[in-house]
Amino acid sequence: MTVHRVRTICPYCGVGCGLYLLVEQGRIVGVEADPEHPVSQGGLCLKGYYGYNHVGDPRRLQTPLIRKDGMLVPATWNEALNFIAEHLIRVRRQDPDAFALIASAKGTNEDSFAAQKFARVVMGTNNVDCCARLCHAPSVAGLVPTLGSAATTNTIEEIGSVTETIFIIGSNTSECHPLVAAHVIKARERGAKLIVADPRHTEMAARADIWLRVPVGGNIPLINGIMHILMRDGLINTIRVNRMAAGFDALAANLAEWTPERVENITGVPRADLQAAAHLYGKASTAAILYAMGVTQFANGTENVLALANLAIITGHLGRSGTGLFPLRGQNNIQGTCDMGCLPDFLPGYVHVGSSQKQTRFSHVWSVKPPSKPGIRATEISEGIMQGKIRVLYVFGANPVLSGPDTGYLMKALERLDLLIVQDIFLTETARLAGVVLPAACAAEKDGTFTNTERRIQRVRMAVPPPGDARPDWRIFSELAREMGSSAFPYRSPEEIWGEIRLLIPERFGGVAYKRLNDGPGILWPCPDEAHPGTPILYSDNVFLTPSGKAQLKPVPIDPEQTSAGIVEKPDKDYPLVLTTGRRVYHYHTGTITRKEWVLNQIGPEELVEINPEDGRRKGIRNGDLVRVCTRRGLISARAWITDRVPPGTIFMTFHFWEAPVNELTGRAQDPVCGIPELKASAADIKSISSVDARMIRRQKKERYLVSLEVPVNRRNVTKGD
Amino acid sequence: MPRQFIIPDKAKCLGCCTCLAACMLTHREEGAVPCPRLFLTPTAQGSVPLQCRQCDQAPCAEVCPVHAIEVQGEVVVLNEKKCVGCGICVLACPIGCIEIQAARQTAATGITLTTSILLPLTRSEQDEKKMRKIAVKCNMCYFRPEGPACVKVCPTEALRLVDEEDIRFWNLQRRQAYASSIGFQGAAE
Amino acid sequence: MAENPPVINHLQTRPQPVYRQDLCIACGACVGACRASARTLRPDFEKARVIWRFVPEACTGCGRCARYCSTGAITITPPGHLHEYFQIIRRYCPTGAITITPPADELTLSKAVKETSFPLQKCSCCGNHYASAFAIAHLATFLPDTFLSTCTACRRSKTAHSLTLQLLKIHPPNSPADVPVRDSGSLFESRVSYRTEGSKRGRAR
Repeated sequence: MTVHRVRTICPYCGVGCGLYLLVEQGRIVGVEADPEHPVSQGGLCLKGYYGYNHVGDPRRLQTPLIRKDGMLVPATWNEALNFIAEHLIRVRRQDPDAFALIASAKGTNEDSFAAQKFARVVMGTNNVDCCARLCHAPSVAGLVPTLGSAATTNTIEEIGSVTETIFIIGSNTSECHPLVAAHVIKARERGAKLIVADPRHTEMAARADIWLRVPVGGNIPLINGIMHILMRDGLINTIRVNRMAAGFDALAANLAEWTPERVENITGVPRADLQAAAHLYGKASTAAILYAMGVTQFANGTENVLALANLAIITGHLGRSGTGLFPLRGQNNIQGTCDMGCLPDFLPGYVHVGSSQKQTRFSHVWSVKPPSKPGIRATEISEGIMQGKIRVLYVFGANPVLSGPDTGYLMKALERLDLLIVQDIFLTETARLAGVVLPAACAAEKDGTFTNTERRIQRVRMAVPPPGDARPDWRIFSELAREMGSSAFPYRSPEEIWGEIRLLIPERFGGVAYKRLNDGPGILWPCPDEAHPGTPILYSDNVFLTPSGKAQLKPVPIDPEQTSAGIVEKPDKDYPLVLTTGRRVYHYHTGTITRKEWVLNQIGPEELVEINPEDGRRKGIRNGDLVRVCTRRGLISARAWITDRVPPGTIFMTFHFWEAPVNELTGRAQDPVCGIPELKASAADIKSISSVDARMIRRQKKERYLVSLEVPVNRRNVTKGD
Repeated sequence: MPRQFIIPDKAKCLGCCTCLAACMLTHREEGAVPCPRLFLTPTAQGSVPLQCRQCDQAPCAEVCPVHAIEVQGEVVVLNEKKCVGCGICVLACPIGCIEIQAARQTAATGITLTTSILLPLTRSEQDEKKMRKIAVKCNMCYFRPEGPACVKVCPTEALRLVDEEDIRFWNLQRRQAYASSIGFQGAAE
Repeated sequence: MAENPPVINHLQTRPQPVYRQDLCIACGACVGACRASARTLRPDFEKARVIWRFVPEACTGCGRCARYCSTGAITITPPGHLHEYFQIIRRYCPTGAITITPPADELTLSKAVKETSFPLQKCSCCGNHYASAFAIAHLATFLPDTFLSTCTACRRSKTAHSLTLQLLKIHPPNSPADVPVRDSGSLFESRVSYRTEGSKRGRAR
C-alpha cells in the first residue's frame, strides 16, 4: 500500500514545528520531521512524533449531540443547527450581550476569524475571548502600550545562531517549548551565556550559567534589581535610551530604591548572582529575553511584563538580530487567534473596538457595524453567568472546566446557563455538561493556517477526512450563520476566508497569499504586499509601533512596605505552602488529546506533586506517598514526588489530569488591567493520606467530571469517512 | 570486535523524553516489553538518558542464570522469552542500565506497560503481583535496519552512536592532551 | 468405563526441591523461574533483611528452580521430568479421566526449609537498601567491587556525572579529572531506583 506524505504543522505548542504526516489508506500511520523547517530544523519532541493517534481515536465525536431528558443523544446536523439557531435568535432579539463565545487557540486562523465574526456580525456582541486570557493577556496589556505589539520581536532561529546572552524567566522552556530549548542549547554550544530565573530547578536552570532561584511572585523585585545594578554600574547608554524611549527619568527615579540588598531581602537571590546576571545581560552585544507563564500568570502579570519591557528597552536589546523579547506562546495558534480578533476589546488586527475611524473598513466589508462596547473577558464569564448577564455560552475547542481558575465556581455557574454549546473533537469535561455538542475536525483534517509564536504564518493541510459527520470549525460557524439568516458567511474554502482577512488587515497580512505559503516555509507578519518578504525583526532601527514611534518606559509602581514576593494569596498558618502550576513535557494542557495517546500516557501516567524534601520531612511525606492537596477552594489527591526541583515552601502540580484537577484549587484573583487569573500562586496545604481515601477522592472526581460518559459514541460510524 | 553503543551528550540533552517514547514504541511494535530502555538520570547539571554500553565481556551475560542475555555479534541482547526477572543482571551492571520492569499480559492489547522508569512511583502492590517481571536493557534496536530509534528522534542530536573509529579518535585526542600536559608541566618546572 | 478412573498419587510421583541455605545468595532466580509462585522474596527494610519463602503446597516439582539456581543451592529429587510426564499424560487424556491427586501428607515436606532471611546491602552512596548482601558478595568474587556497593540509581548518577569528562571532552591540563559524585548538595538525591522505592511503599501500607 502506498504511503503518502502530507506536509503540515505540529498541532501542539506555539513553536509550530514542521512535520510530515504519513497517510496510508486514509489513516495516519506515522510522523516524520521536516528537515527544511526554519524553526524545528528536522527535530520534533515526543508529542510531535507520537501524538497523532488521537486523530483516528474511536472516542472522537462523530455526530452532533443534543441533550434530551438529561442525556446527550446523537442528532443530525440539521436538528442541532436548528436547535441552536432558534435559541440564539431569541437571545439576539432580547439582549445580544447575553451570548458569550470562548474561542479556541487550537483552530486555524480561519476558524478563529469565523468564530469572532459570528459573534460580532451574527450575534452583535463583542463577548468573544480566547484562552490568551489565561496565558499571554498581560503581554498584550504590557507590550502594546510600551512597544506597540505583543508579539515575539525576532525569530527563534536567531536565538540559536546570533544571541550572546539568553535570559529565560518564568519559562520551563525545555518541557513546554522543547524545540525553542533546542535553539538555546545550540547557542550554548556556540558559547552563549544562559541566565535562568525560575523557582524550580528546571532542565534549563540546570544548564544555566547563572540560575536565580526567585521565589514564586518575585519577578518584579528581581528585574528591578537587575535594572538598578545596570544603572548603578553605568551600563546604560542614557542618550540612546532617551532617543528611542520616553519616560526614562521616572523609571530611573523608581529604580533608585531597588538596591541589590533590598532585592536579596525580598527574594533571597544572592546579590552576587544578581550582579553577575545583570552584567551578563547588560554587557552582551545581543541579548534575548524568553518568558512565559511564570511571568504572566500573576495578579500583577502586566507589571511583570512591563518590567521586562523596561529592561529590554533601557539596555537597547531590541530591534536587532538576536535580541528582543520572546513571549513564548503555549498553544499552536494562540498568536493567530489574537491576531484574528478573538479578544473582547480588539477587532482583527488589534483594531480597538472603540476606535471609530479604523472600524469603517470592517463595517464596509462586513456591511454591518461591529459593536463598539468592549465585551466580557473569559475570566469574567463565570461571574457574568452568576449575575445573570450571560445566558448562552458557546465554547469552541476549549476545556475551561479543567483549565480555568477555580473551576468549582465555574461548574456551578455553567449549571445556571440557558444553553451551553460546545464544539470540540472529543467529549471533553466541558462538553459533558453541554446542551449541544458539535463535532469538529482536528488539525490533521482541515486546511488553513497557523501562526506560531514568532508570528510565522504557516500552512496546515488536510491529511485525512474527518470522522463521521465532523466538520471543520469555520464550516460549522458558516452554516450556523446561514441557519440564522445571515449572509455574511459565503465561504466555500478557508482560502476565501483568508482572502477576507487580507482585505481587512492589509498592513499585516496583505501579502500573505496561500500560494506563497504553499511553497515556502511560512511568512512572518507584517507583510503588506506580495513582494514583501515578511518581517523577521520588529522595531528595527528602533522605530516602535506606538503612536509616537518611541518606546514608552513605564515604571512599575512599588509598595514601599513590601517585604516579600508579590502574590495575592500569601501562605499563612492554615495553608503554609505556595502551590504553583504548570505543564510537563509529555502531556498537553488538559490532556484531552495527549491522555489518549498510548505512549504519552505511559510516560506520564499520573499526576505527581513536587514537594521539597524539607517540607516532606516536616509533613511526614515520603516519596511516592499519596497526598491530599487542599486550598480554600477544594481538595485533590495525587502522588508525592519528593524532589529538590521545587524550593522549600513551594509545591508544583500540573493541570493535565482530571484525577487531580489542580484548577479546582487555584483562585480567582485577577490582574486588574487584563484579567489574567493568578494561576501560579495559591496558598495550599498537603497531608499524607491512605490509599482508601485517595481512591474515594478519585471516585468523587470521576463522578464530578462524568468520566464514564466518554465512551466511543456511535462506533459504527467510524469508517464512514473513509 | 567492532562494537557500537550510544552515549548522550549531557550539554545537549533537553530532558524531553522523546528518546524514551521512541524506545517504547519501537519495542512495542517489535513485540518486546514496551518499556523504555533508556534511563533518564537527573544530575545537578540537568537530566541525561543513559543506556547499555554493550560491554565486551558483559557482566550481565556472565551472571545470567538462565542465559537469557547473550552477546550476539555487536550487541548484547536479552532474550525476553528466557528471562525470569531475577535481577542479578541489574546488580552486575556497572553503569546501572538494566532494570527489572513489570509487564502485564492482557488479552486485548498484548503486553502493556504498567510502569515506567520515568515515574517509578506509580505502581501499587496489587499490580505487582499480577505482573511478570522482566529485565529490560538496550539492544541497539538490532532488528531495525535504520539503526537505533532514539538516536534518530533526538531533537538536539544529544544521543550519539559511537563506533570503534570514534573511540580510537578520542583516545588519540586524550593521549595528545596528556602529552601536552606533561610537556607543559615540565616546561613550567 | 470410567467406573474406576486411574488416579496417580501426586505424593509418590512429585519430585521435591532440596534447598541448602548455606549456598543460597538470595539472588531471586528461583523466584523468577517458579511458574507456580511457590517462592517469594520480599524485602523487609526495617530489619534490613530479605525474606525468602517457600510454599511446599504450591510446588509442582517442575524443577525449573534447580535448573536456574546460580549457586546450586537448590537441587531436585527425583528428576523433574517424571512429573512433567504425568502432566502431559493428563493433558492429552481426551475425557479428563486421569487426575493427579494433590499432596495429602505434609510429613515428607516438613523437613524442607520454608522460610529464611538474608541481610540487605546498603548503598554506599544514597544509603538505601538495594539487594541481598550475599548476592553482592557472590558477584564480588568475579566482578570489580568498585560499583557493586552502590545501587543502580546511584551507578547511573555516577555514570551521568562523569559522562562528558570521560568521553566527549578532553580533560583540560592540570584540572581535577574526577569530579566527586553528587557535588551538588542534596539535589535529586531523593530520586531512587524503583526496586527499593516501590517495595518501601509496600511496607508503608
